Amino acid sequence: MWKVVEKRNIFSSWILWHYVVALKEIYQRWRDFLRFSLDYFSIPFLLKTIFSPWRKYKVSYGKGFDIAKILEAFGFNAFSRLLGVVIRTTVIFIGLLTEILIVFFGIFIIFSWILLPLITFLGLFLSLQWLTFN
Amino acid sequence: MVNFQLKKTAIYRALLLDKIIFFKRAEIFSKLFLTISLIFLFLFLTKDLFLEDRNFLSFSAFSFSLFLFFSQIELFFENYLKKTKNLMSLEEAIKSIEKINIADFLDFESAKIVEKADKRGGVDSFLLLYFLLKESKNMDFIFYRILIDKKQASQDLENIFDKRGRVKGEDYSECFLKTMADALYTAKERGGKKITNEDIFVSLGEHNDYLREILYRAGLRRNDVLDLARWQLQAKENENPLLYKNLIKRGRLGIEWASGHTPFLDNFALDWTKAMKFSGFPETVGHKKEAESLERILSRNEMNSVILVGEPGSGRKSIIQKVIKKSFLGESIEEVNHRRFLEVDLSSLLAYADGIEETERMLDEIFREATRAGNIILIINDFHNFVGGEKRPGVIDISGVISPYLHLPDFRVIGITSYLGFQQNIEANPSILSLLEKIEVKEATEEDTLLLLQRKSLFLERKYKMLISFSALKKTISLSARYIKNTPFPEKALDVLEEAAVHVNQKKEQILLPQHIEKIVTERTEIPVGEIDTNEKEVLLNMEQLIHERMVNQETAVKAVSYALRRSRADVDTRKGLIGSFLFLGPTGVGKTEMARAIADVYFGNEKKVNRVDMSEFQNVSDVSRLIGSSSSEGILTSGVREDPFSLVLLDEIEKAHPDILNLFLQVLDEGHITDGMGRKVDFQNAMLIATSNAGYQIILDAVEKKEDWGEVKKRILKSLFSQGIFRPEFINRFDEVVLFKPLSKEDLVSIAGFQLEKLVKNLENKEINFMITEELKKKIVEISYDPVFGAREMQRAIQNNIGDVLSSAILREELKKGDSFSINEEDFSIIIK
Repeated sequence: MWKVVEKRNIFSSWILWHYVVALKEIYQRWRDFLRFSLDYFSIPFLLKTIFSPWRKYKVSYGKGFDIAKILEAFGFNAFSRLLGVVIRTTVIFIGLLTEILIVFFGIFIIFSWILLPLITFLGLFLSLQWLTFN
Repeated sequence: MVNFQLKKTAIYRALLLDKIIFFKRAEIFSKLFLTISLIFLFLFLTKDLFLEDRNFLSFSAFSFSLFLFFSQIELFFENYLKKTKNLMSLEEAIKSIEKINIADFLDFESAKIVEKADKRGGVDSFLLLYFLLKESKNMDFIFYRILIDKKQASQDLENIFDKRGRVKGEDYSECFLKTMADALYTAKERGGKKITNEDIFVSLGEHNDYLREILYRAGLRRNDVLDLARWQLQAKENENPLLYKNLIKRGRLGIEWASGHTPFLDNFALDWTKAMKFSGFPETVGHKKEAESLERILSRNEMNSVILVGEPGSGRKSIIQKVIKKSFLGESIEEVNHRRFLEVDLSSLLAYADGIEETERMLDEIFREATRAGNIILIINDFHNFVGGEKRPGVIDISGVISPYLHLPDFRVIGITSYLGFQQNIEANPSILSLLEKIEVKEATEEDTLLLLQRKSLFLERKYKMLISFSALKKTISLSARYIKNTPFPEKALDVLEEAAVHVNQKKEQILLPQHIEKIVTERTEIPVGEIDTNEKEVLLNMEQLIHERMVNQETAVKAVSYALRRSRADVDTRKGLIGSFLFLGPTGVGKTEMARAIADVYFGNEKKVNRVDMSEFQNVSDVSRLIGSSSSEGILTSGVREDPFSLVLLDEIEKAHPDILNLFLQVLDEGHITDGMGRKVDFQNAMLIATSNAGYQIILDAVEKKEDWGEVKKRILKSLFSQGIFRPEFINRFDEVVLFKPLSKEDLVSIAGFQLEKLVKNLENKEINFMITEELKKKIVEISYDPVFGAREMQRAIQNNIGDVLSSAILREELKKGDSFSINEEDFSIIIK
């Protein structure tokens, strides 16, 4: 008969699950969060449109040469773009900060998961020792 | 021969571990130790006095470590050991089914059932079904819906075991092995990776005699059970909220900042995107191709506006919702992603604006904002109401305002319209039509409708606290497909189901059964559907007698019609056409029209159920529009049948109609439907069609005189009709039967005279005057009115002239008063008061 399922003893199954299968799952969720945060704060899109006028607010320079009108339009348009830059940069900054936090949180979770068996064992061993000697 | 060895599988180890409390109750232990740990931590923090601080912390740390330990055990057991992964797909396994151990493909729950059965030894399909019923709690969803009484079924199976004793011989019976092999196929068909209890159940429905009979009685086939299994798995599905596709449903910040503000538009718009987000982006079913076309057109730079044409209720809006979901999640084409879909509320705009000029100015502002914003896709519902057509209050023609914008690349519109609206208003406006891409929306398929009904059922069950049986869902689809023709799927099925749920709730019943669906469909269509009740059975079985209560002679005609109705109601008729179609040939006044009325009264319940069309009014081809309607008006024939599909269509004097008009009936007689002038399909499947004609009546009269063979007469008449070009053979052949009406004999006319005079008796009864009819009077009436050419029609005149006139004068002169009884002297028609 053909082998359809990989059979291992329970200990090697546990090692495989803890250090490969579960770790892969944690990594995938971490990646999902990183991708979500990047998309939630629309970082690539905001970078692409960073100098665009805020909410498309801009005025026409008009026909002919009217220096006052040109200066007024230039001032308004420059302000609209500046406003866009300020707000977008703020959101990009918050987004990047969140991204960094998720990176660190993910690293922390992954390391904790790797060390979890040891933490559990040490926790049991030390707390029992404390209880026994006190 | 297939192999099945449960004990040699990886899942068997999980079954053994599941018996150890350490694994089985790992979740409970982990929760318990977490609670203990938190309690000790709390005690430590609040520094209680009866133990030293350090012990609290040590206890807390010890419990917490145990919590970690059991949590890992639980995760390992539930997510890994119980969910073994196969090295080959089900497809590959099926190809080499004899070389694999089928048990390797069982999931944990199904392996558990087999193991339970295994313990009793000699496992066959009955034992498997017994434990499936007894042990598998997650199968209750299916059992309840096919109305299996679990207790009764278990008892029945136990009785079977008692009768036959234990199965001896091999571990697994041949039938069991066939069931398992079939379950493997079912799992693959379902798109699964493992054999589940649902797959085993579907397979048992094929291989186990007991279950097969239950399913047969419930009217369920294999595919139905498979659908049911899919429904159960879908209802159980619990999506991980931490997956990217679920996280992103929260939206994106700042995606709109590069697009313009639309403050004015927002006042007169319904935000579909926001509404969809609020309801959590429900799944939409079907119309995949139409949604893809919509995306493609919207993504273009030019000609990027769409008109969705379909009947209301066919799922036009769900197509837009499908695209909105993809757009919001960023899964659509780049140009369509992250757009705002706003429905312009033109009615509220019209109510707000003062006069047409202001409305147009406001509309222009709205369209300008939408274009400038750059991320708006406008939706205009009932688009036809706002383009051309009649001018009436609450309606405006926006074509002048919208046309210039439709040329702009940043202006995108989705118009929603019906076929009628499209034909009447939009096609008549070529300048608008040329700027819109048309997408036709066909009605949803029955498979898609079933999926929608299943979803709706879960909602209705929660709302009305009831159970909806699967047979009721199937019945909803079959009955609405057959009897409700003026609304498309899925709307009509969803409506029927909801109405039935309300009905069951009002009756304070617990389960929605097929009978409830039949009742609702009967109420809606006035067509008696479902099990034939006693009264109706009586009517059907005694049809001939009941018709003869109003008619004399014409046995052949009465029989032919009665048989057709019985065939139709007993559902043994496989034809696509009408309930019955008959051509009545015979001289005038022999009862052709009267027979049609009698059928309507006896079977359809009311004489008013006759939709009579005088075909002599249709002597020119141009009269077609009066018959089947045109783009602007309803037709006499089609509107009658649309309004009352369960009726009798009487085409009087059909020989007088133009031959091209008769050709229209070829499809009606053959397929049971016709397309009306508005492009709608009008269904005749629940109607009966009777055409009458006195063409060739002279041959009948001669034949009666010469006492010729009746069969030969029929042939002769048809031959004569064909040679004269009155009817064509393909027209006559499409009738179920051509029935010859014999001229009435003097004896027949005496009986008819009785019927006619009875009508007078009834009228006088209302005035409390008793009219006694004598046999002599009847004979006298026949004597003075008998003319084989005019039949009974002359008699009506004779009664009217000789008796009606005398009676009316007597009543006016007060010779006849309340309480009087009288008869009429047949010699001089004078009144004899008694």
